[in-house]
This record gives sequence, C-alpha cells and structure tokens, in this order.
Amino acid sequence: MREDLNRAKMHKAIDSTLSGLNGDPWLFQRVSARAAEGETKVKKKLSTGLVLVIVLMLIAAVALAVTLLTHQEIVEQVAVPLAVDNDASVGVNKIYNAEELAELVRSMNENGITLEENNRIMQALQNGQGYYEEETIMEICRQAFGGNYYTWTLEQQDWYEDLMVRIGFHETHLTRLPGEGNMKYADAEAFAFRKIREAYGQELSLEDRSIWQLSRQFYVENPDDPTSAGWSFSLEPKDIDHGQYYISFCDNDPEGTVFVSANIHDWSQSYTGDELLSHFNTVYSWNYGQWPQEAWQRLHEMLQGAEIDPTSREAQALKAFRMTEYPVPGEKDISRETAIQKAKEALQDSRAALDGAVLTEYEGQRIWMVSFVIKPSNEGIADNTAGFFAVSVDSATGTILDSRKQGLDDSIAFAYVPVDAYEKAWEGILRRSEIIQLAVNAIREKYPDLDLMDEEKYEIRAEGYKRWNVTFKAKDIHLGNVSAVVSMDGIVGEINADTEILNGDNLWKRYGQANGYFGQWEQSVWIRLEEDMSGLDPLQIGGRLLKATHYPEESSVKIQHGRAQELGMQATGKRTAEVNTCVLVDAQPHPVWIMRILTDEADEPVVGIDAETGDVVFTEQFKTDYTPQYVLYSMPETWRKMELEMLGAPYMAKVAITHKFGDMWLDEPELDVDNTDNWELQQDGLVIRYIGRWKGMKSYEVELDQNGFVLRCEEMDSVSTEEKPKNTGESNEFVPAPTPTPLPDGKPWFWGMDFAPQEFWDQLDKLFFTHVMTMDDYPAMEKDWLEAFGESEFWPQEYQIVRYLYYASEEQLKQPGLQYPVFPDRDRKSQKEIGEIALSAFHEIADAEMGKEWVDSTKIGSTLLNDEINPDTGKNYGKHVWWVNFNIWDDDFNAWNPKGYAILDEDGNVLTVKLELSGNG
Amino acid sequence: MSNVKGPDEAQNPDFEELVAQYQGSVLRMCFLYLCDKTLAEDAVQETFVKVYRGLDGFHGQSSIKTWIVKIAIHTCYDMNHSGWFRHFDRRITPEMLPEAAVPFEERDEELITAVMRLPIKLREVILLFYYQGFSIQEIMDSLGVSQSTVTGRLKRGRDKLRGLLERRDSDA
Repeated sequence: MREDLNRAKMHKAIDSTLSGLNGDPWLFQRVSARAAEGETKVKKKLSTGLVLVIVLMLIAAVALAVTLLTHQEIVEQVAVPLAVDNDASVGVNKIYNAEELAELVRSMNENGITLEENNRIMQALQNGQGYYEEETIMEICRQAFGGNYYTWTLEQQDWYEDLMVRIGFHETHLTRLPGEGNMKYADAEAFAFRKIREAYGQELSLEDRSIWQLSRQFYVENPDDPTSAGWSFSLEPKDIDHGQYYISFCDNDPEGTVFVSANIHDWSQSYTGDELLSHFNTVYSWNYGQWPQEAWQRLHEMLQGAEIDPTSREAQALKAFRMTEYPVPGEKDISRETAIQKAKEALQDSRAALDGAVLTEYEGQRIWMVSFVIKPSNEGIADNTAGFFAVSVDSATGTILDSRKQGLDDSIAFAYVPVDAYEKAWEGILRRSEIIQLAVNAIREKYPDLDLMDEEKYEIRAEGYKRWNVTFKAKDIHLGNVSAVVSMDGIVGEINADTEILNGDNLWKRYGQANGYFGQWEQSVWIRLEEDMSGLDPLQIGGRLLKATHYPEESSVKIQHGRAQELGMQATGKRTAEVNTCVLVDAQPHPVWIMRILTDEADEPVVGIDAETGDVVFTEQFKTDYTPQYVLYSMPETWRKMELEMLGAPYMAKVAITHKFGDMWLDEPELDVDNTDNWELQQDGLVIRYIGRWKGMKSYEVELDQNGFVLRCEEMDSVSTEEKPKNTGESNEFVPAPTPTPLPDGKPWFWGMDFAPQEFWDQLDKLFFTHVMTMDDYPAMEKDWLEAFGESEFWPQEYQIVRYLYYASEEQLKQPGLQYPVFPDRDRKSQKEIGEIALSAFHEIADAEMGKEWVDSTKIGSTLLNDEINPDTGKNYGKHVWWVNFNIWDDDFNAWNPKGYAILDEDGNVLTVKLELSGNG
Repeated sequence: MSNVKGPDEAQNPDFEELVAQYQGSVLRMCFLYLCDKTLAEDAVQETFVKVYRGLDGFHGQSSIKTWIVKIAIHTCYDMNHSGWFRHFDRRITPEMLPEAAVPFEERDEELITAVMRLPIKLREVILLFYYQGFSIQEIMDSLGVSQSTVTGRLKRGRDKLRGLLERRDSDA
C-alpha cells in the first residue's frame, strides 16, 4: 500500500470486504431473553422510602425555582464538582450514587430543566440507583446543544473536552480550538464543501441542513507536532435520494492532503433488496418503528425493481415489504393516534411503550400495524409477559384484528406488514425452527443418542447470514457442544460434536460451556465444580489443581465478595478498570479471595485477600499469554509446587524471565528463551541459566526454592562475541528442495487460468508441479523459505510466484489487468544482477544524504511483476518490471522496513529510483 | 485523525436501538480481532448481554459506543485467552473472509487480511483508532493503557501494516 492509512479508507475496506457480516436481526430478542434469565444488577439501591423522599423533594423544588441556571452552568456548578468529589479515592468507579444523582436532578429542576420520565437517568433515579457520570453529563449537554458531540460547534466540543479533563476522565486536552496559525473554521468548512463539490458535483446544496446533518471536527493528533492538526467533515443524508460525503485534510496543507469520499447509490441501475434496505437503514436507522410513513411507501416502491436474493437472511422481510403498500392515511382511516390508543388498550399492559405505527394495505384491506415494547418489570428476572408486540387494527373500524408477540422464528417484517402478507412471504423460505429441525435430523443420523431438543440439556442457537450456524450449547457438564452448518435452503453441511466422556481434564471446559466465562462465576459454581471433580481423576495440571483446591461457601468467611473486591482494588494502589475473576479458595490460616484486577496502567495483578482479616496475602502478575489460568483459582503454594513437579524448573524459570523482562504487550515472544537457536539451557538443581548464544544478547539466571517460588531472577550480558547471522537471502544452500510427490489428480485449481500465458504455466510446471509438489506442500515449504530468506520479498522469484498463487483467490485471479509475479526471462538479467544494478542507482541518489555505508547496509528485496504501475505517472509501464526495495533493519520492530525503491526493466534499465525515509505513508 | 461519524451518539438510545445500531460494526471488529466468524458472533452476543445487564460497568468513556466497544474488546480478550483458543490456527487467507454482500476492491481485501495478521495488541489499537474512530484518549480508557503505549502501538501497527502491504504489493 503506497499511501497513508486513514479512517475513511479503513472504514471502507472493512465495511465493504466484511459486508457479509451484518449482524443478526434476532440478536435483540435473543439477548433480551438471555439477559432476563439469570444474573441481576449489582448496583447499590436505595430504600423505597428514600426514593419517595427524593421524588417529593424534586416536586417541591420545581415550585421553588427562582434564579435559573443554564444547562452549561448546571454542569459546571453542580455536575462537575460532584463528579470530582466522587473520584477522589482509589479504585472507585465513575458513577454518581443515587444521592448525588438526586442532587443533580434536583438542581436541574430548580432551574427549570427537566428530563423526560423514560430517560435512563430518571429511570435509574426512580429505581433508587445511581448512574454513570459521563453519560449523565453528556445527556445534559445533548439537551443544551442538540444533536451529538460531532454536530456541536467546535467551541461546544472544546468546552466539553475541557470538562472531561477537569473531572479526570481524560489526562490531557487533546482537542483544541484552531489557533492563530490554523485555518479559521469558516474557511475550513468552505474548503471542505468546495472540494466535495469539485469531486461530486457543483449542484450539491451542502449548506441545506434539511438535507444533510453536518458533523465536524478539528483535531490534533500529536500536541507536540503542529503539523498533526487536521479537519474532517461528514454530511449524513436525511433522505435516501442524497449521498453521504466525508472529507478530511491536514490543517497545514489542505490541498495536498485532502481525502474525499462518498457513498452514493445510483438507483437507476440494478440493485438488490439487501442494498436497498441497507441504505434505508443508513438514512432512517435500524429502528423501523420510527420510520415515517413515506419511508415505508418509498421502500415498497423501490423494492418493485429490486432483485431479492433468496439466500438473503432478509429475503422474507423484503418479499413482505414488496407485497405491502403503505398509503397515506385518508378520511376513511382512523387516525394514527386512535389506532395507537386502541392497540394499547388491547394489550392491557401499562408497561407497553410505543415502538411505531404504520398504515398498511394488502389485498385491498387497510390495517394499522402498531408495535410496542414491554420491558421486564424487574431487569434481570425472567418475564414471559415482556417482549416485542404487534397489534393489527382495522383502519376503517378500529377493530383489533390480531395481537402477537414476536418469537425467535419471526423476521424484521413482523410488526410492519399485515399478518396475511407476512405469512405469504414465508412461502419457499425456511424459518429458524425448520432449520433447527433439519440440523437435529442430520445430527441424529450421526449421533442417535443425543437429545438435542431437550431444553434442560441444550440451549439452541441458530444464527448466520448466508448460512445458518446451529449450535446446541450443552447445559449439562456430561454433554459437549454440538453444531451444524445449514444452508439457507436447508442442506446440512459440516457437523461437529464433542461427545467425549466427562473426565477430570475436560470438566473445566464443560463448566465453561455451561456457565460462561469463569471470571464471572459465582462461588456456588466453583463449589459445584469441586463436587463434580471429586469422582474424577485428572491427568493435566489444570485439572489436578482444581482437584487439589477446596472452594468454601462464601457464608463461612467474614469478608464477603464485594468487600474483598474493594480491598483488592485498594491493594493495587492504582485506578482500576474492573475486577475480572474473584473466587474464594481454602488456605491456611484462613480462606483467601483470589482476584485478577485490570488496572488503568495496563497490568493485571492477581491479588489474594485474607477472607477473615482483609490482609493482602499475595500479589502476582497475570501477564496475557504467559500466565496460566490456574493461578486465578488456586493458591500460589499449590500451583507452584505442582508446576515444579509436572512442568519442571526450566519452564518455571522461563516464565519468571518472561514476566520480569519480557514485553507483555507484544504477541511475538521476543524473550523466547527456550528457543535453542538463541539460548542454551544450563541447569544446576534449582538454578537455571539461559545463556545467550550471540553477541549483544542477554543471558538469564533464575533460582527457585523447593516449592517453586522464585528466589532470584537476573539478567546479564552474554559473554558471546559471535554475531547472530541474519537471513540475508544471499544463499539458499540450506533450503531443502521440495519433496517429490506424485500428483494423482493433475494440477491445482488455478492451473491454466487466463490471466497468464501458457508459457507461464509451462515454466511453473517444470519447476514445481510436474513431479515435485502439490499445493498442500506449500505451508511446509513456506516455513522453510521464511527461515532461509526472511520475508517473501527476499525470496527467489520462483518461490514468490508459488506463494502468490497459494494465497490468491479465484475472484482475484479473474480480475482484468491483474498484476502478478512472473518468471524472469533467462536470456536477460538475473534477479541477483538486477539487485546489483538497482543498488548502484540507489547509491547515486542516496549516498549524498545518507552516506555510502548506510546504502550498503540496506537489504534488497525484489520482485518481477508483469505490469507494474509507474508511480510518477500512474500508468502502466507496459512490460515486465522489477520492483526493488531497499530495506533497513528496525530493531524496535524486529523487521526490515523499506527506505527506498527502484524499478527496472528486465534488461536492467533503471526506470525510477527513490529514497523514501519516512516510508510510503 | 477525525472522529466524525454519523450514527454515533444517538439521543437516549434504548437497548434495541443500541443492538441495531452497533452490532454490525461490533461484529466486524470482533471478527477482525478473533479471526473467526462463529466466535465473533458469540462475542457480539456476549457483549450485548453484558451491555444489557450493565454488569461490566461504564468506566467513563465519552459515549455509549465507546462503552460498548470496550466491553466487546474485553469479551474478545477473554475468548482470545481461553486455553483452547491459543492452539487454534487463525492464519487468515483472503478466501477465508466471509462472503461479502457488496462488491469490494482487491486492495480493501488486502488491507483487511493484513490487519488480521497483525499481532493482537497492535491489531486492537489499529481497529479502535481507524475503524471505531476512537481518540487516543478513548483507546487509553478502553484498554487501560498509557498514552505512550497507545501511540507506540499505533506507530508500530502502522509500520507493520505498511510492511505487510508493501510486501504484498511487491508480490502482486
């Protein structure tokens, strides 16, 4: 990629390439059902009596209001001081408690500012709960300024940012207003609009806020770098006839850095129903209940010309919307308000909150479809009366025709088309329950004993977009998960089943399946696990530690779960993000709460708190990939001793070294001391040494005690004077030739495709495929080649060709004008000669600036391509060209980075050569 | 860079609206994080269950979106570190990407593949910064890391992406 990354590009790349990942229309229903099944909120509640007092105070306050403060003054004079007081101590989370929230709301009311009753803040208050500080402040600001943060003026954004710093949410004030050296806002906006018009049409009336909502931002990426300031504007359409436009540019060089993009649909061309619906979602949101009547009518009309993919997850809904008309209410129709009132009366539930009401017409009958959401009375407690409801009301008479609750089988059209149209649209489309039944039938053929439809044993999940993934999640630890993939037309593909008999080693996994992530298990789950483990005989260390640990009842100790977490957070001495995992473990002299705490400083201490005294018993560091999970559920003296017995002192020493000296934030194990190419292991009883084999490499010495605790862990310089050889790519002498493998079935799938001439395939055949390999051999060969040469640009050209073909997709290889690596003409310059010529050319332009020695230290990577683009003209060279990169080793990143390049033809003529110290971004 | 985005910061979003509004981008981010579609779908469901229950708390992010994304990142993190997952081969080739619903350019696919090949700690800051549109501060809050860590990882992520893409350009 010879251009910079930016957010718009990343968005476009991800949203288009992964457009198949659109989510699941049933997610809301499924999550609501799951969430209502189990745990309850843990927010601290006030007593009912106190809530009543607060509400009465609020009513009285309104009557007493005399001097009025503005929203901003309320925030500055009340909300911020309360938030600052709240955050004075260590480990506190950033929530206004109920009393503080009441004080804030009372102050607002005193000044004539009210929040709607169904507002989250008011709901929290009425339930006697606190609420998040920043969300509360944001809500007040939204009331004051309207829109959202990015539609606010720069001054409003800046004021809000300033608040965040004052409260302590942000350490530094990263945004700022444009200063003297910056463009003025009006100029920046004018420039943005001009550039959008130049790109997409002068007729665009971008200033019209009835068509577009404008978001804007002035940002400073690096406060120390004035050139990092930039602008961005986004114009979001308010109807489907207009496009979406985005522009960004740097403040100091707007012309040179401008990036403009747009999302414009040409509906006069062919389009699919999915594309259309997606665009409607962009304009009118996913909340169908809030769509205006004219939006539905427009969707219906435009769907007449759309192609509906029968394998689309929304096929049924699209068909239903296409069948249903959405007329403008006339004199013969009852009013929307009347329809809503009648529908609500029919539901007979005061909790019903309106979702939407739309007038439909199907086969001559006009029906108001009115939808409601009924939330559970007590969040966290299962409630079958809650859910999403659709009520059909005859538009002529007001008669209730139907009232239904949405189920898992239902589609997004459920509440927005009449029942008859809805049912007819299902013809030829399998419903979720039918898909599940097909999966069950297929699985039973293979595993006849599995009772997949037993709700006591399995939770069924069926999700997917272009195909269904049906999973039977086991609730019983004696059972494993079972899954099947089913196509939209009902063909069952891959089936997977964990049918292993329960044993001491898979118990942990089965508990995870049944109870979710172990970090959130209640103590009772650990106690059950201990009971279940009692009859089993684990062989692996995780299972053996579970078996060796006793998990007592929480009621048996003085310090309970919540208090233990507070003590644990205080013990870190840092601001904490959350307690992740907290379990009570038996120990001497008292049981200990073991918890992992995520701190704001990125580390994850594991803290043990004495459950009787509250003392800190131990602290360990939990470090991402290097710490096993069993440190979170067993005492250090237990797991250390078992590690020593089962895994040995060298392993423990390696972990100790990695913990103390490794960079935990990289996945690449740069301190992989058991890599024998780089370190030699020496063991003297419980003293372990990893001796660096190469000059400049560190050596390590670790001493353990008899129980596996680290007594000493030291780093020292290696005494070796030998330089570590780099993979220079100069020689392939230690690369094994591909293993000859007979090819029973001819060539790989790409063989003979049109993108390359027959000569290409003949050469490839001679080199690799006639007698030597199949593409299945490639991964092993790649490993060898990476080891021998380093990254692929340093490989011989022939190997690069094989790599290219291995990773290419059929779609990619079918694209016109494909650029691909080709075989060098043997009568012309070799890859090595090309490298030498390119280096000479690079010397000529880079020596003066960088010095000859620096240029000589570059590592050359080269690739011959069929038709590379000339970077200066943007046009093709029209012949095979060598692209040669000059790379410098980057110690920080442990990789070669290109600092210049040259392009040559096959005769060695230099077409271009450049020094690019900052890379291409 | 800019944070300007359209559908963010809806007023008083209710839960259903949140699911509808954010599940797509959260799903894509989880997929890029976990490199596995089914796991990503699981992660999204877990994320919204946590959002619904509010158990993971809201730790001062500047928007609902930030809060949801933070929960999603932590959910992916937990899944990423489960024992069996570490042994799961997640090397991604373009063919393994889910089928797209709309046409896309080859360079976009290459960029996605390169992102998925980044080490996870670099990948997550790249996704949060470039895809979710987070500020440096928001990434600091979401991941619980320092400013220098975020900017360092962003730099390394960018360098690594350039390296991966340039090498691919050389191949192509």
